[in-house]
Amino acid sequence: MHSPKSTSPLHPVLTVSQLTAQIREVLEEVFENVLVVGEVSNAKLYNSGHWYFSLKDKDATLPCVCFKINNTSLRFKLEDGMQVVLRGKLNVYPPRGAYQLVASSIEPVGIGEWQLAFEQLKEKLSKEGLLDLERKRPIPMLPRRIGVVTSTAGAALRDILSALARRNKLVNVVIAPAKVQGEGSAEDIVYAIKALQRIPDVDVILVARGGGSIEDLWSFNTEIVARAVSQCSVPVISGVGHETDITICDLVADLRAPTPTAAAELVARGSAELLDRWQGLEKRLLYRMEDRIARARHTLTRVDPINGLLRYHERLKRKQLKVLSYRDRINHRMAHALNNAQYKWRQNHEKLSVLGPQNVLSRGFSILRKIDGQIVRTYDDVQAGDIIEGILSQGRLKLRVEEVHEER
Amino acid sequence: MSQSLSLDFEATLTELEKVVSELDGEVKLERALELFDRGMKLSFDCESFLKGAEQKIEILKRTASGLTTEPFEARLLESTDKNQ
Repeated sequence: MHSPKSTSPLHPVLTVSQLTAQIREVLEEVFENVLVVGEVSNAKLYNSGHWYFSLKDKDATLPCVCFKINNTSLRFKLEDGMQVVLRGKLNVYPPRGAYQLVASSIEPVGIGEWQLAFEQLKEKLSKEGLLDLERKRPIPMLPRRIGVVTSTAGAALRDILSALARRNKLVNVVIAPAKVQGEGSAEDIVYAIKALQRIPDVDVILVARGGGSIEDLWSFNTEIVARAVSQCSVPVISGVGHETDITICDLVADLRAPTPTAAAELVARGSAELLDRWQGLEKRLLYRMEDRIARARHTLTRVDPINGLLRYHERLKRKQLKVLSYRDRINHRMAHALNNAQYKWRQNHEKLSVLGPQNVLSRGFSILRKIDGQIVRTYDDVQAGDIIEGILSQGRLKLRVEEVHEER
Repeated sequence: MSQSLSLDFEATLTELEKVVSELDGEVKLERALELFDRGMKLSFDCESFLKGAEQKIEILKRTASGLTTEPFEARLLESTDKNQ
């Protein structure tokens, strides 16, 4: 098989397996924990969850793998062309005489991890057309009920409710409570959006959260929330963070409001306009009538003041007074009705307390009662020797009847 | 209270609008008075809608049998931390 010349104790002939095992031992020990920077190429993200790719620079290529267990915590997906820093260990694969870097962590270079994840999701949804302006549905002017998805512990809910109360009270609200940050918050928001669609009369849904860091707002940048918003059966208004924060949820929603308060105002604007219209109309009505009467009067003064017209004049005067006193009368009537009710209540309350026994007892009277509860009213209700009970203003007495007299 | 309070309100408002526009034009005094009476009545209706309108705030609860809504006490929020 081999030439005996090459055999010597110092240079034994190794089998491929033996040599590979030695190479493996050396490489895996020396490169047990390395950091390496390069450009991602040939990235393959398998359904198993493992990522296979190469890291390369101008002159060299390094095969790499990042197993599922190490990449599930990453928010972004690996793409060709990306500059990354890998941490990991070298691994030799004897059957193919190949080595690869097993990455335990991947960090993008130049752009933050969060930003990268945001851009990637934005791009993905954009390709599906979910960010298209044609998809945006109009917000109903007069919603019957507004669904609000937010945390009951946050300032956003208070801001929304006070904005709605300020603008008008014609809109009803259903709150779907959801965690808006931390573990499980994205799932909570999705559940809340879906639940509200099953509540009758909810015409618009407001998804809201107060300001915070990009990490705090992250659940609004997740794909499941974006999909729940885009698939929602009623229009969605997104009011997340401050004016400068833009989330994926904002982009997918039918309308983006800069803040939760602004979102509430947007949804209430229709009803608020109705209120303005009403106040304007009422003023116009009063003004027009006063004007019309003034004109009629003026006409009267120009014609002969014969008797019939004078009577007409009188009637006009009365109508005018009616116009002017209309609102006063209503206000009075309301105040009066309220006072009346309060007065009646107080009167009845006092009457009742006079009728009750406590009042009489406190004036020094007491009530005598037999063992069976029957009230002792006259001398012949009891007999000598009977045990009876005396009820006083405070406390009770057990009494024995000594003598019974018809008269004092 | 009706769920479509704002719709009722709007319908009343539309009628009031018609009345006021007719009053804006040249009408006989008797007709003007009629319109005024009608208009005032409509306007009072609007007012009573608003007086009767108490914003209903509810909160969703998950129960074993599904979803229910319960009244929500907005007052309880006043004590929450502004920075949250």
